[in-house]
Amino acid sequence: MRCPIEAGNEKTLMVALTAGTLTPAEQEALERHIDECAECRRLADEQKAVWSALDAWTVPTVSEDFDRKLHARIAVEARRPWWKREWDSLLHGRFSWKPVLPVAAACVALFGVFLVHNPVSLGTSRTAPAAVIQTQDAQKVDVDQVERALDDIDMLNQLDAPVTTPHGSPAGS
Amino acid sequence: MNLNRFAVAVVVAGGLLWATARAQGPEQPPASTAPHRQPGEPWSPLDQLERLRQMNPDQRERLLERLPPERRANIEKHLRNYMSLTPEQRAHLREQYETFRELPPDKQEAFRRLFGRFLNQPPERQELMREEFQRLRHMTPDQRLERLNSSEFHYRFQPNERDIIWRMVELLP
Repeated sequence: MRCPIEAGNEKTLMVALTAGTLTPAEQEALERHIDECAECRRLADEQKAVWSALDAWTVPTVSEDFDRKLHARIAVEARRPWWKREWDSLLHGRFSWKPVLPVAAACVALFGVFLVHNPVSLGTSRTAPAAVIQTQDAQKVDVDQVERALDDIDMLNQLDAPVTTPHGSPAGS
Repeated sequence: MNLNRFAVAVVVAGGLLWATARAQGPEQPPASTAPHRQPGEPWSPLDQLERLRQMNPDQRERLLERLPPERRANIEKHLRNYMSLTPEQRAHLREQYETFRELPPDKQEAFRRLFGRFLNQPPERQELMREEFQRLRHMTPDQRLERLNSSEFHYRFQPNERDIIWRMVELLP
Protein backbone atom coordinates (compact mmCIF):
# COMPACT_ATOMS: atom_id res chain seq x y z
CA MET A 1 0.00 0.00 0.00
CA ARG A 2 1.23 3.45 -0.84
CA CYS A 3 1.80 5.66 2.23
CA PRO A 4 -1.38 7.78 2.73
CA ILE A 5 0.75 10.80 3.75
CA GLU A 6 2.51 10.67 0.40
CA ALA A 7 -0.84 10.12 -1.36
CA GLY A 8 -2.35 13.14 0.52
CA ASN A 9 -5.42 11.26 1.84
CA GLU A 10 -4.14 10.39 5.31
CA LYS A 11 -6.84 12.42 7.18
CA THR A 12 -9.68 10.77 5.32
CA LEU A 13 -8.25 7.31 5.82
CA MET A 14 -7.45 7.78 9.54
CA VAL A 15 -10.98 9.04 10.26
CA ALA A 16 -12.44 6.16 8.24
CA LEU A 17 -10.23 3.68 10.07
CA THR A 18 -11.28 4.96 13.49
CA ALA A 19 -14.94 5.11 12.45
CA GLY A 20 -14.74 1.61 11.04
CA THR A 21 -16.09 2.56 7.65
CA LEU A 22 -13.30 1.00 5.59
CA THR A 23 -13.83 -2.28 3.82
CA PRO A 24 -12.08 -5.27 5.50
CA ALA A 25 -9.47 -5.35 2.75
CA GLU A 26 -8.76 -1.61 3.03
CA GLN A 27 -8.61 -1.81 6.82
CA GLU A 28 -6.19 -4.73 6.71
CA ALA A 29 -3.93 -3.02 4.21
CA LEU A 30 -3.92 0.23 6.20
CA GLU A 31 -3.19 -1.54 9.50
CA ARG A 32 -0.29 -3.34 7.87
CA HIS A 33 1.09 -0.04 6.62
CA ILE A 34 0.64 1.58 10.04
CA ASP A 35 2.73 -1.18 11.63
CA GLU A 36 5.56 -0.25 9.30
CA CYS A 37 5.18 3.57 9.10
CA ALA A 38 5.84 5.54 12.27
CA GLU A 39 4.33 8.77 10.96
CA CYS A 40 1.07 7.11 9.99
CA ARG A 41 1.02 5.30 13.30
CA ARG A 42 1.28 8.62 15.13
CA LEU A 43 -1.61 10.03 13.08
CA ALA A 44 -3.74 6.96 13.78
CA ASP A 45 -3.01 7.20 17.55
CA GLU A 46 -3.96 10.91 17.61
CA GLN A 47 -7.19 10.19 15.79
CA LYS A 48 -8.02 7.35 18.21
CA ALA A 49 -7.29 9.67 21.18
CA VAL A 50 -9.75 12.27 19.83
CA TRP A 51 -12.44 9.69 19.39
CA SER A 52 -11.78 8.27 22.86
CA ALA A 53 -12.14 11.75 24.36
CA LEU A 54 -15.39 12.29 22.48
CA ASP A 55 -16.68 8.95 23.66
CA ALA A 56 -15.83 9.89 27.26
CA TRP A 57 -17.72 13.24 27.10
CA THR A 58 -21.13 13.13 28.70
CA VAL A 59 -23.82 15.45 27.42
CA PRO A 60 -25.41 17.61 30.17
CA THR A 61 -28.98 16.73 30.78
CA VAL A 62 -31.57 19.14 29.44
CA SER A 63 -34.64 19.98 31.46
CA GLU A 64 -37.83 18.55 30.12
CA ASP A 65 -39.43 21.91 29.34
CA PHE A 66 -36.28 23.37 27.74
CA ASP A 67 -37.72 23.30 24.23
CA ARG A 68 -41.02 24.82 25.35
CA LYS A 69 -39.24 27.69 27.15
CA LEU A 70 -36.93 28.30 24.23
CA HIS A 71 -39.76 28.52 21.71
CA ALA A 72 -41.76 30.80 24.02
CA ARG A 73 -38.78 33.17 24.31
CA ILE A 74 -38.24 33.21 20.56
CA ALA A 75 -41.92 34.04 20.08
CA VAL A 76 -41.75 36.95 22.57
CA GLU A 77 -38.64 38.31 20.89
CA ALA A 78 -40.22 38.07 17.44
CA ARG A 79 -43.24 40.10 18.58
CA ARG A 80 -41.10 43.09 19.72
CA PRO A 81 -40.63 45.94 17.19
CA TRP A 82 -37.40 45.66 15.29
CA TRP A 83 -36.18 49.08 16.45
CA LYS A 84 -36.54 47.98 20.09
CA ARG A 85 -34.48 44.92 19.40
CA GLU A 86 -31.81 47.08 17.70
CA TRP A 87 -31.89 49.59 20.53
CA ASP A 88 -31.37 46.82 23.12
CA SER A 89 -28.56 45.45 21.02
CA LEU A 90 -26.97 48.89 21.02
CA LEU A 91 -27.41 49.27 24.77
CA HIS A 92 -25.95 45.86 25.50
CA GLY A 93 -22.96 46.27 23.22
CA ARG A 94 -24.32 44.00 20.54
CA PHE A 95 -24.39 46.73 17.92
CA SER A 96 -24.41 45.49 14.37
CA TRP A 97 -23.50 47.49 11.30
CA LYS A 98 -26.01 45.53 9.27
CA PRO A 99 -28.85 48.09 9.63
CA VAL A 100 -26.50 50.77 8.32
CA LEU A 101 -26.34 49.03 4.98
CA PRO A 102 -30.00 49.52 3.96
CA VAL A 103 -29.85 53.15 5.15
CA ALA A 104 -26.72 53.79 3.13
CA ALA A 105 -28.21 52.06 0.09
CA ALA A 106 -31.37 54.13 0.40
CA CYS A 107 -29.33 57.34 0.79
CA VAL A 108 -27.32 56.57 -2.30
CA ALA A 109 -30.45 55.76 -4.31
CA LEU A 110 -32.26 58.91 -3.19
CA PHE A 111 -29.20 61.08 -3.70
CA GLY A 112 -28.93 59.72 -7.23
CA VAL A 113 -32.56 60.64 -7.91
CA PHE A 114 -31.97 64.03 -6.29
CA LEU A 115 -28.98 64.70 -8.55
CA VAL A 116 -30.91 63.68 -11.65
CA HIS A 117 -33.69 66.12 -10.84
CA ASN A 118 -31.39 68.87 -9.57
CA PRO A 119 -28.24 68.79 -11.66
CA VAL A 120 -25.41 70.53 -9.92
CA SER A 121 -22.60 72.20 -11.80
CA LEU A 122 -19.45 72.66 -9.78
CA GLY A 123 -18.88 76.06 -11.29
CA THR A 124 -22.34 77.41 -10.58
CA SER A 125 -23.43 75.38 -7.66
CA ARG A 126 -26.91 76.16 -6.34
CA THR A 127 -25.87 74.84 -3.02
CA ALA A 128 -22.47 76.28 -2.37
CA PRO A 129 -21.66 77.14 1.22
CA ALA A 130 -21.28 80.78 2.18
CA ALA A 131 -17.52 80.86 1.76
CA VAL A 132 -17.78 79.52 -1.78
CA ILE A 133 -20.52 81.96 -2.66
CA GLN A 134 -18.30 84.77 -1.55
CA THR A 135 -15.56 83.60 -3.85
CA GLN A 136 -17.98 83.12 -6.72
CA ASP A 137 -19.49 86.54 -6.12
CA ALA A 138 -16.10 88.13 -6.31
CA GLN A 139 -15.39 86.25 -9.51
CA LYS A 140 -18.72 86.98 -11.13
CA VAL A 141 -18.80 90.66 -10.26
CA ASP A 142 -16.70 92.57 -12.76
CA VAL A 143 -16.01 95.81 -10.95
CA ASP A 144 -15.44 97.76 -14.18
CA GLN A 145 -18.80 96.66 -15.58
CA VAL A 146 -20.59 97.39 -12.33
CA GLU A 147 -18.98 100.80 -12.09
CA ARG A 148 -20.07 101.65 -15.63
CA ALA A 149 -23.58 100.34 -14.95
CA LEU A 150 -23.81 102.40 -11.77
CA ASP A 151 -22.63 105.51 -13.62
CA ASP A 152 -25.20 104.96 -16.37
CA ILE A 153 -27.98 104.22 -13.92
CA ASP A 154 -27.11 107.33 -11.97
CA MET A 155 -27.19 109.32 -15.22
CA LEU A 156 -30.59 107.92 -16.15
CA ASN A 157 -31.85 108.48 -12.63
CA GLN A 158 -30.82 112.13 -12.75
CA LEU A 159 -32.57 112.62 -16.08
CA ASP A 160 -35.64 110.81 -14.78
CA ALA A 161 -35.81 112.63 -11.45
CA PRO A 162 -38.94 114.59 -10.61
CA VAL A 163 -38.76 118.24 -11.67
CA THR A 164 -39.11 120.81 -8.88
CA THR A 165 -38.63 124.24 -10.50
CA PRO A 166 -41.48 126.34 -11.87
CA HIS A 167 -42.19 126.09 -15.58
CA GLY A 168 -41.67 128.63 -18.30
CA SER A 169 -38.37 130.34 -17.52
CA PRO A 170 -37.18 131.66 -20.82
CA ALA A 171 -33.73 130.98 -22.18
CA GLY A 172 -31.10 133.35 -20.81
CA SER A 173 -33.32 134.48 -17.90
CA MET B 1 -33.80 42.67 3.67
CA ASN B 2 -36.58 43.55 6.09
CA LEU B 3 -39.10 45.67 4.15
CA ASN B 4 -40.12 47.68 7.20
CA ARG B 5 -36.54 48.56 7.86
CA PHE B 6 -35.94 49.55 4.27
CA ALA B 7 -39.04 51.74 4.24
CA VAL B 8 -37.92 53.54 7.38
CA ALA B 9 -34.46 53.96 5.90
CA VAL B 10 -35.91 55.49 2.74
CA VAL B 11 -38.06 57.90 4.76
CA VAL B 12 -35.11 58.92 6.94
CA ALA B 13 -32.83 59.41 3.94
CA GLY B 14 -35.50 61.38 2.10
CA GLY B 15 -35.98 63.60 5.11
CA LEU B 16 -32.27 64.25 5.34
CA LEU B 17 -32.05 65.15 1.66
CA TRP B 18 -35.06 67.43 1.90
CA ALA B 19 -33.60 69.18 4.96
CA THR B 20 -30.26 69.55 3.21
CA ALA B 21 -31.87 71.02 0.13
CA ARG B 22 -33.88 73.44 2.26
CA ALA B 23 -30.81 74.49 4.23
CA GLN B 24 -28.83 75.21 1.11
CA GLY B 25 -31.36 77.73 -0.15
CA PRO B 26 -31.47 79.32 -3.59
CA GLU B 27 -28.39 80.92 -5.02
CA GLN B 28 -30.26 83.28 -7.28
CA PRO B 29 -31.42 86.64 -5.95
CA PRO B 30 -35.14 86.87 -5.19
CA ALA B 31 -37.32 86.66 -8.26
CA SER B 32 -38.72 90.12 -7.66
CA THR B 33 -35.32 91.75 -8.10
CA ALA B 34 -33.24 89.30 -10.14
CA PRO B 35 -32.99 89.95 -13.86
CA HIS B 36 -33.92 86.91 -15.95
CA ARG B 37 -30.86 84.95 -16.99
CA GLN B 38 -30.50 81.61 -18.69
CA PRO B 39 -28.18 79.05 -17.11
CA GLY B 40 -24.68 79.44 -18.49
CA GLU B 41 -25.37 82.89 -19.86
CA PRO B 42 -22.75 85.50 -18.86
CA TRP B 43 -23.71 87.77 -16.02
CA SER B 44 -25.05 91.04 -17.36
CA PRO B 45 -24.01 94.31 -15.68
CA LEU B 46 -27.43 94.37 -14.00
CA ASP B 47 -26.98 90.81 -12.71
CA GLN B 48 -23.63 91.84 -11.30
CA LEU B 49 -25.01 95.02 -9.82
CA GLU B 50 -27.79 93.06 -8.17
CA ARG B 51 -25.23 90.64 -6.80
CA LEU B 52 -23.16 93.51 -5.46
CA ARG B 53 -26.25 95.02 -3.86
CA GLN B 54 -27.04 91.78 -2.09
CA MET B 55 -23.52 91.26 -0.74
CA ASN B 56 -22.93 91.81 2.94
CA PRO B 57 -20.50 94.60 3.91
CA ASP B 58 -17.58 92.22 4.35
CA GLN B 59 -18.03 90.68 0.91
CA ARG B 60 -18.34 94.12 -0.66
CA GLU B 61 -15.28 95.33 1.19
CA ARG B 62 -13.25 92.43 -0.17
CA LEU B 63 -14.39 93.21 -3.69
CA LEU B 64 -13.67 96.94 -3.57
CA GLU B 65 -10.63 97.06 -1.33
CA ARG B 66 -8.10 97.04 -4.16
CA LEU B 67 -9.64 99.90 -6.11
CA PRO B 68 -8.14 103.39 -6.09
CA PRO B 69 -9.89 105.52 -3.44
CA GLU B 70 -11.67 107.80 -5.95
CA ARG B 71 -13.13 104.94 -7.95
CA ARG B 72 -14.14 103.15 -4.81
CA ALA B 73 -15.81 106.28 -3.43
CA ASN B 74 -17.64 106.76 -6.73
CA ILE B 75 -18.94 103.19 -6.73
CA GLU B 76 -19.96 103.34 -3.09
CA LYS B 77 -21.77 106.66 -3.57
CA HIS B 78 -23.70 105.45 -6.61
CA LEU B 79 -24.45 102.14 -4.93
CA ARG B 80 -25.79 103.95 -1.86
CA ASN B 81 -28.04 106.03 -4.11
CA TYR B 82 -29.21 102.91 -5.91
CA MET B 83 -29.88 101.03 -2.70
CA SER B 84 -31.82 103.95 -1.26
CA LEU B 85 -34.39 103.65 -4.04
CA THR B 86 -37.61 101.76 -3.56
CA PRO B 87 -37.91 98.40 -5.31
CA GLU B 88 -40.33 99.98 -7.79
CA GLN B 89 -37.89 102.79 -8.57
CA ARG B 90 -35.09 100.29 -9.03
CA ALA B 91 -37.24 98.21 -11.35
CA HIS B 92 -38.09 101.31 -13.38
CA LEU B 93 -34.44 102.32 -13.60
CA ARG B 94 -33.43 98.83 -14.65
CA GLU B 95 -35.91 99.05 -17.50
CA GLN B 96 -34.44 102.40 -18.52
CA TYR B 97 -30.98 100.98 -18.32
CA GLU B 98 -31.90 97.98 -20.44
CA THR B 99 -33.23 100.35 -23.10
CA PHE B 100 -30.03 102.35 -22.91
CA ARG B 101 -27.94 99.19 -23.16
CA GLU B 102 -29.72 98.28 -26.38
CA LEU B 103 -28.14 101.29 -28.07
CA PRO B 104 -24.98 100.63 -30.08
CA PRO B 105 -21.85 101.39 -28.04
CA ASP B 106 -21.02 104.55 -30.03
CA LYS B 107 -24.50 105.95 -29.35
CA GLN B 108 -24.23 105.06 -25.69
CA GLU B 109 -20.97 106.98 -25.59
CA ALA B 110 -22.53 109.92 -27.44
CA PHE B 111 -25.35 110.00 -24.88
CA ARG B 112 -22.85 110.02 -22.02
CA ARG B 113 -21.04 112.96 -23.62
CA LEU B 114 -24.33 114.83 -23.97
CA PHE B 115 -25.05 114.13 -20.33
CA GLY B 116 -21.63 115.59 -19.49
CA ARG B 117 -22.63 118.75 -21.37
CA PHE B 118 -25.96 118.71 -19.52
CA LEU B 119 -24.14 118.61 -16.18
CA ASN B 120 -22.12 121.66 -17.20
CA GLN B 121 -25.28 123.77 -17.27
CA PRO B 122 -26.36 125.74 -14.21
CA PRO B 123 -28.62 123.74 -11.86
CA GLU B 124 -31.74 125.80 -12.61
CA ARG B 125 -31.24 125.28 -16.34
CA GLN B 126 -30.67 121.56 -15.75
CA GLU B 127 -34.07 121.39 -14.09
CA LEU B 128 -35.77 122.97 -17.09
CA MET B 129 -33.89 120.80 -19.55
CA ARG B 130 -34.73 117.65 -17.54
CA GLU B 131 -38.38 118.59 -17.52
CA GLU B 132 -38.34 119.15 -21.28
CA PHE B 133 -36.50 115.88 -21.89
CA GLN B 134 -39.04 113.93 -19.85
CA ARG B 135 -41.97 115.64 -21.58
CA LEU B 136 -40.57 114.91 -25.04
CA ARG B 137 -39.98 111.27 -24.21
CA HIS B 138 -43.66 110.80 -23.44
CA MET B 139 -44.70 112.22 -26.83
CA THR B 140 -45.29 110.46 -30.11
CA PRO B 141 -42.68 111.15 -32.80
CA ASP B 142 -44.99 113.67 -34.53
CA GLN B 143 -45.78 115.46 -31.31
CA ARG B 144 -42.11 115.54 -30.48
CA LEU B 145 -41.19 117.09 -33.82
CA GLU B 146 -43.88 119.70 -33.47
CA ARG B 147 -42.64 120.56 -29.99
CA LEU B 148 -39.01 120.84 -31.06
CA ASN B 149 -40.04 123.22 -33.85
CA SER B 150 -42.29 125.28 -31.63
CA SER B 151 -41.64 128.89 -30.71
CA GLU B 152 -42.06 128.03 -27.04
CA PHE B 153 -39.22 125.53 -27.19
CA HIS B 154 -37.01 128.12 -28.89
CA TYR B 155 -38.09 130.77 -26.43
CA ARG B 156 -37.31 128.64 -23.36
CA PHE B 157 -33.95 127.22 -24.40
CA GLN B 158 -30.68 128.59 -25.71
CA PRO B 159 -29.17 126.97 -28.83
CA ASN B 160 -26.73 124.89 -26.76
CA GLU B 161 -29.50 123.65 -24.51
CA ARG B 162 -31.75 122.89 -27.47
CA ASP B 163 -28.95 120.93 -29.08
CA ILE B 164 -28.41 118.82 -25.96
CA ILE B 165 -32.13 118.10 -25.51
CA TRP B 166 -32.70 117.40 -29.19
CA ARG B 167 -29.80 114.96 -29.46
CA MET B 168 -30.61 113.20 -26.21
CA VAL B 169 -34.20 112.60 -27.27
CA GLU B 170 -33.01 111.42 -30.67
CA LEU B 171 -30.72 108.85 -29.05
CA LEU B 172 -33.06 107.74 -26.29
CA PRO B 173 -36.62 108.48 -27.33
